[in-house]
Amino acid sequence: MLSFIILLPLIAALMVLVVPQGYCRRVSWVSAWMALALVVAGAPGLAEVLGLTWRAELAWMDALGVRIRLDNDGLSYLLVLLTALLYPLSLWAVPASSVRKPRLYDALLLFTQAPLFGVFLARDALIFYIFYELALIPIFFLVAFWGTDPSRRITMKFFIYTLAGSLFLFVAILYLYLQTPQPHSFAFDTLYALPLTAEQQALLFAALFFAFAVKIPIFPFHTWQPDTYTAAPLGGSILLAGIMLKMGIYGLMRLAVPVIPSALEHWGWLAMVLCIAGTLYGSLVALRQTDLKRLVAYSSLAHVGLIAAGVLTANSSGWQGAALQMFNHGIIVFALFFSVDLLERRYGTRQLNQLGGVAAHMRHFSWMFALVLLASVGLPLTNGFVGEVLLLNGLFQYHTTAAVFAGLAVVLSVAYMLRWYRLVFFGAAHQEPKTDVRPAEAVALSVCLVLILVIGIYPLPWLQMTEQVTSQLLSIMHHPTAVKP
Amino acid sequence: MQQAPLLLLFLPLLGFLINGLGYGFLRRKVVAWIGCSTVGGALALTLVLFAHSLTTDEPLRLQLFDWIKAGTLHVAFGLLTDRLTLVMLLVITGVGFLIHVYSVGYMWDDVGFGKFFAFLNLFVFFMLLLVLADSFLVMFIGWEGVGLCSYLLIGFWWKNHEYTAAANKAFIMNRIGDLGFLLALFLMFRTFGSTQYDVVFQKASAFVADDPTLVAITMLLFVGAIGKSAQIPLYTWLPDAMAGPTPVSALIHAATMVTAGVYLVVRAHVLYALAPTTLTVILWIGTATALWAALIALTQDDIKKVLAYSTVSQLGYMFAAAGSLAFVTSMFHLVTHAFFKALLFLGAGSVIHALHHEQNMRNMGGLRALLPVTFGTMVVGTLAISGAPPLAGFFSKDEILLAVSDRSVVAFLLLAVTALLTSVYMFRLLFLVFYGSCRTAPHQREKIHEASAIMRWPLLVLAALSAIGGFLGLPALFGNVHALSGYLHPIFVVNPRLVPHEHAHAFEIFIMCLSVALVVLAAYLTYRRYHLRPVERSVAIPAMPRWYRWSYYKFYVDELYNSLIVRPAEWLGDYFQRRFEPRTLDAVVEGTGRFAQRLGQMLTGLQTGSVAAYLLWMMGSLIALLWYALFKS
Repeated sequence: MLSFIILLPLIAALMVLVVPQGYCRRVSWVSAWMALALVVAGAPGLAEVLGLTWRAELAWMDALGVRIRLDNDGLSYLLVLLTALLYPLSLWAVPASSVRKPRLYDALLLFTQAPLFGVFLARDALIFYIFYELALIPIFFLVAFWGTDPSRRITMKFFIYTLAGSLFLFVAILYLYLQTPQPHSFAFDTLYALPLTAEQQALLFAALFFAFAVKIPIFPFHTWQPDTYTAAPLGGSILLAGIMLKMGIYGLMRLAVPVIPSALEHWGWLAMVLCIAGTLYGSLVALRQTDLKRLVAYSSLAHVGLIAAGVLTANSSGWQGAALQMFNHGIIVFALFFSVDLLERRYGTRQLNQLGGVAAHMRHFSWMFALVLLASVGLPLTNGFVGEVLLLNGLFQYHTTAAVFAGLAVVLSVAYMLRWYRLVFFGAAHQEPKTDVRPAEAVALSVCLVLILVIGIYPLPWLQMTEQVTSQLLSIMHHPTAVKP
Repeated sequence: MQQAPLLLLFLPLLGFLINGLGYGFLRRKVVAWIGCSTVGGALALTLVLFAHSLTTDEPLRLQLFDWIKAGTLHVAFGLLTDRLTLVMLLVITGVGFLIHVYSVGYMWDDVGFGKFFAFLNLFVFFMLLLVLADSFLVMFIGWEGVGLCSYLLIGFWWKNHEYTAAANKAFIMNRIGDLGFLLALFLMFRTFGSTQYDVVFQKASAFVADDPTLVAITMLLFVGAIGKSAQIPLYTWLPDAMAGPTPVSALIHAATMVTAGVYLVVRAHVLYALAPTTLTVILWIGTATALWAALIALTQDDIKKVLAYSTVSQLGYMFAAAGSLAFVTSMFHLVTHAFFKALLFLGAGSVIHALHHEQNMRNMGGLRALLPVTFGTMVVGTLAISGAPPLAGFFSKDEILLAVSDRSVVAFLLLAVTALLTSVYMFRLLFLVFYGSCRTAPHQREKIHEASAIMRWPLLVLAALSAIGGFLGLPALFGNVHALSGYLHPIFVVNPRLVPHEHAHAFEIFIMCLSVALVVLAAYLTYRRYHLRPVERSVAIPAMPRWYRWSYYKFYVDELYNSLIVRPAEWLGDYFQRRFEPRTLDAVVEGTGRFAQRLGQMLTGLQTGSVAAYLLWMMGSLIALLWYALFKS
């Protein structure tokens, strides 16, 4: 019954709209914390002890074979946990006093959480699709109304582009639905068992890959991303980069790869080339960015390209790496956006050439950020290393060349991140001394740092979480006929 | 005893945590005590372990926990302490401890005193992890960790933009090598299903010599070694790394971290012995690097730059030995080099300290009387590295020359020339710094003082070690008394491909005489050039002969890399960002959008509201459909 966690943020969002102004944030807080508590209580292992279950199945449009099927496994759980975790953090990062119309802001933020939970818990393609689209609407308003100046045009582009992508997803899902035996069904398990010809699979793969590639985004379908991440308010950037793009990768894992194994075999290399070209492309462009937020955007492009490439390898190392790295990326990208925002609030700019010598004034912030940076470049004993090494190993098993080029991107990541650190933190201070990281800010960063180190030093529990489900999904892919729910 | 390696490993980490968390409020004295005592404790434990190792051949194994487990990939976090590890441990904790003590004096007045010791301890922790690891992947943790500490310490004086640029360069170039290491790890997983030494070596021995997979693994590992140990083509970061405080140069960039590549090759000797092709590559890269760096060192005016290129050159020697299957010799030179190069760097540091951060040797001169202890120990260091008998370098370098002569006469000759060059640049340094007239500014001259006791003692100890270190490996001429070879015997006995070469005693004696002759020749040449003739405070480089200019400007390799790699990458980034993305990619996207809009506009033209027009369209389409249906069949 834990799946009803989806309703919690919705109810909270409605409450936020009606309670007196002073209570808005409190309601949001309670909701975010309750969601986190529920998710933690539903952790694998703990949930059984507490007698909680995630599975839910509700009749909805039975005539059409549409049922609200929700369930949880390691992969879903990791992303649900990430969502639940990033919410209190992003509320914490953006005080109500610092936004215009805090009531509406909080309501939209909470409205987004419900479909995000839904996407990761859905076990029915139509439900998945509905949540996938629903998440887009509140984030559109968040970016459009709270973003920086030219955001209307940028948001419009983002909205239309991703919507166009989703259209392909919708068509693909409907097509799959029509292939199912009578009575038709959208259930994932039914879709997995479909015998599809190679041509059908190729077309479906094209549609699904395009749909998810826009969302993730994968080069060359990324042109909405840097502008949107840059124009979005902090909360929006965090949601977009931290969680929303994972819907795309998750979709690839849950909906695309297990359904179309032969297409992946024949055409997967093409998608792989795009992913890896994207990681190199993103890294090279990040190397020349002067705006820190854009730098994060392009580095994120590079990192998610690598994760998507890991999914396309369709081997256990690549998949476990992808699953873990999705979580890691969420944590790291939050910390990066948060740090950029912190710098911008202090210094009034986020241009590399206008900052410098920050280490002189902000000692604690400097070392905290350094640790985030190390996780981002995947240094051993940080979470980034574990994810990256599994991804690269998966790629290596897939094709040596893929691993070499992806590895070059990892080298480049050091170049652009260290350039950032050097230009911003080192050197002579250009500006007036500023106060160091405040306790409230330190708390948000510390949560990230603890996770970075805990996962980096002892990643085993996190890997075990996704072990079973990845092998399950991969075995479906490799033996498409021998599937049973 | 079983837990000793763990304690040994975590002592420096503890020091890092205390000094790191206490940074800003711990007093200098406390910081110094914590920093030194943790490494000192590690040294004590190492000695205990060493004593234990003399009684048994069995290595100590310690399994801590499963680290990564995903699919076929399974990595356990384990420690292995065998005799090879112990040799490295002795160097790291021994030399490390001395350098920690020296640093107390050297860094006392620095505002970042606590930070310095925290980083230094962290470095020792990672370095210990590197050598204590029982698998290549765990070694990789230490490998990247020491790279991080090197970055942090090169950029220690972070207000200087040049220094931080050097730090970035070091990290990035190391990362290029690390990519090779990482790929080797993946290939090991694919081939052996593990990266644990025992498993890998055992399974590898089933392969035939020069099996392509083994060659690939060893080559990739060597790429990692090239990055970390600053060999051609990834050596240019090490001279720049001299931006760090001098004790850092001594510890990280001379005695320990840069030798990690050599340790890696020696550790993987089972694999390398099975890959003669790789060995040949190692031999030639080592030889070429030794000569190349020595040529550059000849003309450098910065005292630390001379020593840095010297380090690159000496590492080349170690690789040349490893490439000749003489792994013990390689380790021998690693140890003696750690002694005399740490000594030389600390001596240089003492000079720099006395002259208030003057590093240009042309502004020194005549310091012999002012800094007697530094001078004396530097002389020992210089003689040791030059290979004057019976100091440390004499034995280890001769052994290398002997080993290389079995493999290739050309390499042997090149290394002999390098030995001459080594003596030349070292005596040049000695003459420029300590002899002749004092060229320091007069107001500074009075302030020159000998280093404090805390800095003198490490110098003296290292000088003693440099003097007698060679007796660890006496040549066969004196009977079977090679102590190091005897100690490391259990490590290499498992490798059937390592057969000790017997050399004619006459040849050994010839090489010894050659060594001595070269030292004397070098001393004579530099004496004439730098002692009998006055030294100019500045030289007009353009007026110098061509070879001098090329050497002085380091053969323009940095410039070459800049124009071949850095600038094209930047150009590409700019091109993508300014042209490709907005004008090509986005143009297509927006074009599609505009096309849809245009189409919509065209279609709105149809929606006139006139019923007559609609009827017309309807009739028209109906007729078309009928037409199609009729003529289809």
